[in-house]
Amino acid sequence: MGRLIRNEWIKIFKRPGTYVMIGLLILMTGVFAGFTKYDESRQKDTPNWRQVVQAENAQYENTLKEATEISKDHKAYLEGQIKVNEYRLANNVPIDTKTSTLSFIEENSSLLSFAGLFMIIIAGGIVAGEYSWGTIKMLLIRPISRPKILLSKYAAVVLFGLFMIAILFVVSALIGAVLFGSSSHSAVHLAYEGGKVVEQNMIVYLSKVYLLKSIDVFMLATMAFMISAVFRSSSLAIGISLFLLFVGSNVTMLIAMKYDWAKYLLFANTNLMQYEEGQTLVDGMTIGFSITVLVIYYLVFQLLAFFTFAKRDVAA
Amino acid sequence: MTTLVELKNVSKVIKGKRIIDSLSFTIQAGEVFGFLGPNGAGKTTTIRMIVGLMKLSEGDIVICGHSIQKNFEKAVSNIGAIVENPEMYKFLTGYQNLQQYARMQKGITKERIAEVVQLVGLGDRIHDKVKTYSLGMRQRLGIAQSLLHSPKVLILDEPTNGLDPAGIKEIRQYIRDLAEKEKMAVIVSSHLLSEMEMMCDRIGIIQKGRLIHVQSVRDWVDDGREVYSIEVDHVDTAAKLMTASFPDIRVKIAGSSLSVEAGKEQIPDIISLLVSKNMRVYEVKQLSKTLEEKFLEITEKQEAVS
Ligand SMILES: Nc1ncnc2c1ncn2[C@@H]1O[C@H](COP(=O)(O)OP(=O)(O)OP(=O)(O)O)[C@@H](O)[C@H]1O
Ligand SMILES: [Mg+2]
Repeated sequence: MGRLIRNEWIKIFKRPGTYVMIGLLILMTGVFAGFTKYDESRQKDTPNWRQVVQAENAQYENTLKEATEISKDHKAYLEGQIKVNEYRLANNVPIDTKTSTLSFIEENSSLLSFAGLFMIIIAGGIVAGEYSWGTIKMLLIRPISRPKILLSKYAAVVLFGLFMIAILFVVSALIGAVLFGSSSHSAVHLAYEGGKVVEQNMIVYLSKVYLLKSIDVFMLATMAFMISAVFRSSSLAIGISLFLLFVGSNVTMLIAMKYDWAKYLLFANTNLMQYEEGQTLVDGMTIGFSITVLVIYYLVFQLLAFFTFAKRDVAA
Repeated sequence: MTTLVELKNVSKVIKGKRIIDSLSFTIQAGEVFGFLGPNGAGKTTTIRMIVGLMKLSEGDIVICGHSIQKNFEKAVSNIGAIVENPEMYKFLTGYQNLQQYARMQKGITKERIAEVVQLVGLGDRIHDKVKTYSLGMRQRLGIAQSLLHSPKVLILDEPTNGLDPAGIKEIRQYIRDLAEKEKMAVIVSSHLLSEMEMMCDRIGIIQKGRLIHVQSVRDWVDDGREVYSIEVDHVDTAAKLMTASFPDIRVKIAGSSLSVEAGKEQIPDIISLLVSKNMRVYEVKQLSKTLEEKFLEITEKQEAVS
């Protein structure tokens, strides 16, 4: 299996397109950093962090008092945030009022869909490409079962996705360190867990943010992979998946405003962060529900891909 | 002799059409089997089923004792193949392509890769990207790929396609070598009969998905009786003389000459008979049908029947 994955990895990295993708991702990170830096240079004085935190808390309390239709979970979340801020004031744990390396990394998690775009392109081409090159017949006459071949391809896609995310993370860290410097005091993340404020390692926290925010990207890459395996067309696979990547969650939100069944849609469940803040897309959704829905979608995608790939006559 | 490949009543139905209709044949170790048929006869489809690219609708294929349907991995590990054109990863070098396939099977060493590269004569060009290769070079790379794991069964779908005459001769030679020295079973498909008769031991003619004729090449070319045209002064007397002395030959009068179907060894005897009876023999020439003509005759006969 390792050797099969290595084969796929070589095929990905022997094509110039892959380096264009990596270059673009790095370029985007740089552009993002430039804007942030420029924005900051126009800001004259940095506010005192205590004032910022106090203002935040005042706003939270206001929301708690005035909002009539507030869910229990969201209320708990706001109360937690207030506790965290009070902890900051009491123990002198400042927040960043200026961009730091770590906060830059966190902000750059919005570039994940860009990394995801490239993962989808690879996922959509990895099976369809073999058909269009005609090499599929060379691949399938080896003493290796078709499911195994497909699995190695999927593993390569996942590894490539993780690789792109790692690049985004590392390049953000490097550029951030050069442009913004490190601020020693923000090296911990404060979370409110089980009625207590706990300190978390910032790197661990950032990794979690990146992974949670990548769920939709991984699901869409799996879908692109499935379409690629079923229809043998990379343009179809990439087209549909990218379209959904960019409009899927917005459309789902619109539907959710009117219809409850929106909660069964893929994009209603990809954002697991919604449970942290207690604001779910449709009332009554739980994290268990979302994970179940995600698993079902995932299994359907994989079963379709594996079943058609294993059964099909190859006449390419 | 050991049977390495066995097709048992293999049929393929695509969208209600019988593309292959109960094909049965066996191929022994050390034998080159030619698969001959016009365009669209079903050669490639049959090969696709043998290597597991297409499922069988009916029947079974057994390779070295393993059914391709029940035990795909074991069966196919004994096969090396080129199906239609050998497509390669164009963005990789020839060598990197071979490495890809080497990684998919156990026990293929660097030395083995070097050996097959040497065998197909790609030389230094093996380290160039495949997109710079000519058709013939890609064909050679395809053959290298099929031999990597030293298979017992080699299947080549129109292997001489795109090769220059020297290349064709070369391939023919090492197909013969592989069969004779390595005791491989080789299946070669083609629609060129002339090419087939030079490298095959047996030829199976396939038409419209059915195997209509299997014959050993030696029988066809050497043992078959040939037709000779003999020009003599008195055709009637000569015909009578000949049928009296050689009961097994067939003689027909065609104008001023005789058309005689006989074995090659009988010709000198026939001539001396005629000369001894004071007949004047002007010309003896072989009218024998070429393999090409026999092939056309068989396929046309079949056409008329169906
Ligand atoms: N996937 C398919 N769907 C429908 N018909 C097919 C399919 N593949 C092959 N055929 C038909 O099966 C027949 C045999 O095709 P095949 O490619 O096996 O011929 P061939 O003997 O290899 O011909 P050639 O000498 O041109 O290579 C043809 O009539 C072809 O149209
Ligand atoms: Mg063909």
